[in-house]
Amino acid sequence: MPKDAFVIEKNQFSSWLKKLQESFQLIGPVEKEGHFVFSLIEEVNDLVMDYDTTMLGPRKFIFLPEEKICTIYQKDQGFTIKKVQDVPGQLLIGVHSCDLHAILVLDKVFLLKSFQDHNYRLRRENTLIMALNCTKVCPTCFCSSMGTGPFVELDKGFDFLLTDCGESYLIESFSEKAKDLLLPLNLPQADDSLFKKKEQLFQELKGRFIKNLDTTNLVQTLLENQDHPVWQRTAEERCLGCTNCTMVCPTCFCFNVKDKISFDLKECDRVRYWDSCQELHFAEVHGANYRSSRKARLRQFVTHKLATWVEQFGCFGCIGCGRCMYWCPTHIDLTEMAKEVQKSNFKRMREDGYA
Amino acid sequence: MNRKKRIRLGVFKYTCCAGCEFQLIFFQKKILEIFENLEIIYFRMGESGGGEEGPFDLVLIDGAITEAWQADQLKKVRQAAKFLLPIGSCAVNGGIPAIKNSTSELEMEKRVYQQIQPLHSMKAHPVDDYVKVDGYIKGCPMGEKDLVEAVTSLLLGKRANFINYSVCVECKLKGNLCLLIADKLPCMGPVTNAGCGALCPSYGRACYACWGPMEDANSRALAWQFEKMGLEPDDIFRKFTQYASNKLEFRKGAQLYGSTT
Repeated sequence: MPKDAFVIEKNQFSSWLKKLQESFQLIGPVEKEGHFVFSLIEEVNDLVMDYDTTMLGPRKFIFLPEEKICTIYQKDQGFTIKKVQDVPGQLLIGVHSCDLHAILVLDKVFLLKSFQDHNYRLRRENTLIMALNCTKVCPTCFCSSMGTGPFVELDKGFDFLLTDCGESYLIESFSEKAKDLLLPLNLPQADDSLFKKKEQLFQELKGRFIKNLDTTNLVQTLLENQDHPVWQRTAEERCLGCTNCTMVCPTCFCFNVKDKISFDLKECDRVRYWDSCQELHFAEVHGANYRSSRKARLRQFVTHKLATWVEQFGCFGCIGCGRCMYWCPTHIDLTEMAKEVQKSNFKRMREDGYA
Repeated sequence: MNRKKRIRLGVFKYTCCAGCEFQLIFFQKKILEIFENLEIIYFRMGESGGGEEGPFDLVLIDGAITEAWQADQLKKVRQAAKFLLPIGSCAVNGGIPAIKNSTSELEMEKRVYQQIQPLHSMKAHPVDDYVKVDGYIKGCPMGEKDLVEAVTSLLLGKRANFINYSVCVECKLKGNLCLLIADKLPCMGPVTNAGCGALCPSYGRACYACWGPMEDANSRALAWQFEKMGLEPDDIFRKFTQYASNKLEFRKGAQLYGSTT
């Protein structure tokens, strides 16, 4: 699709959003108690577009923390199932590159060729994404190492892309829907100088990363070191098993299903909510729990994100947003764990006769 | 489905504030349907009389065991009950009565009573230290969700699916900002069993673990983190002995900062 790029003044941008509010639920970053959160926007002026990061990514508006899958009614003979049908159209504003990549990762998980998750598809199809190129680098983010940021370099899977150019935004559209929404505005086309400025901002930002992770051979290295001491030590001394890392991770997709049954046993709401592999009962199957130690659960988190995900979905499960380490009560850093494994690759050392 | 049969219920109270029993009566007002399915056989606070002998389909035990007769009766009740569930922190974890466990019995008695001769108290223990239990309805007072789950599961003849993750999960599902990180408050949420709907953190107060530990909680690591945050050893000790000093999960944290025996 040929992409269209325009310039929009920030004032005009706000009034345009106000207009869009009539037909969409607007969702974007707002300030809350000194931090930023993605939330439903009542007042367009509440939007904080130069936010750094949020605790929960925009994932929570597509893959809800807790949602009804269906209601089951018992009849005299058999039963009927009513699925969720209506979801409102929504526009996610100011989605950073990492979070956009995260949504695309979730697409791979929920929208398989062989099976499509009903609720996810419904919400995803009714969601427009307005991505935003980052203007800041957080101390914990390492998206440049994971190839997911800080600027969006994709050309599909989302609708708009904003770049902050001071007084105005460079706005690019990447879908038919987006094009149609921009058309009535009659915006001036963006010229080459603006794209040069964009490139310049990108290069500047790239140089400011503090955290890095070398992903060369990472998959193999991690998989070879399932018995590396770092897992046991971190699980023992620091991991609380509280599940915060997986709750804030924008690519975590596990959910648990619970039935809420009425007391006359005639009606049942089947509800799903975010589950976590860090929770003891997660891996409980009939007769056993195949990840009963905290070490195994912690290792599962790191190796899934940085290694086994690649085989499963063809990309890393980690998009380098740094949320897991920031919101971990003991600040366990998955890049540090990976680096420790890379530094002292026990398998290699054993083979070379050193350990 | 045969729904004529009502569940024969027994409720026994030992050492506690009786808050959980009040909660049960409160639920009766709120969700009448649950009581339509129950036939009260023994429930002193709800109905006078009643037979201690049972037999019961479901027995709820309220309170910690701190006297010999209680242990004795509890064992008989267990024999007469198909399902036995401790309700509330005292019965599940030792609760508030178990605060005394980390001080000598005599010192504690002298501190509270003028006349200590008639006392026959012993260290407080949760119900599962004496008898086998079929699940736990945690909370202080006990949680509604788990009680509803227990009763509907019994009606359906399926295994109850009790809440067993940490308070952090509920905070995240609600979208609360983490108090431990954002406000540097010593929150017990990461090691505490959920079910309260992250009540305190939702109002900006740190969790104080009234539901007791989540299974396999790593209290030592959280205690170390509290130390790094600048908490005094005594404060850390009290945090882990306030509601569940009996439970191994919390003892591991408390033991680093004081004697739990």
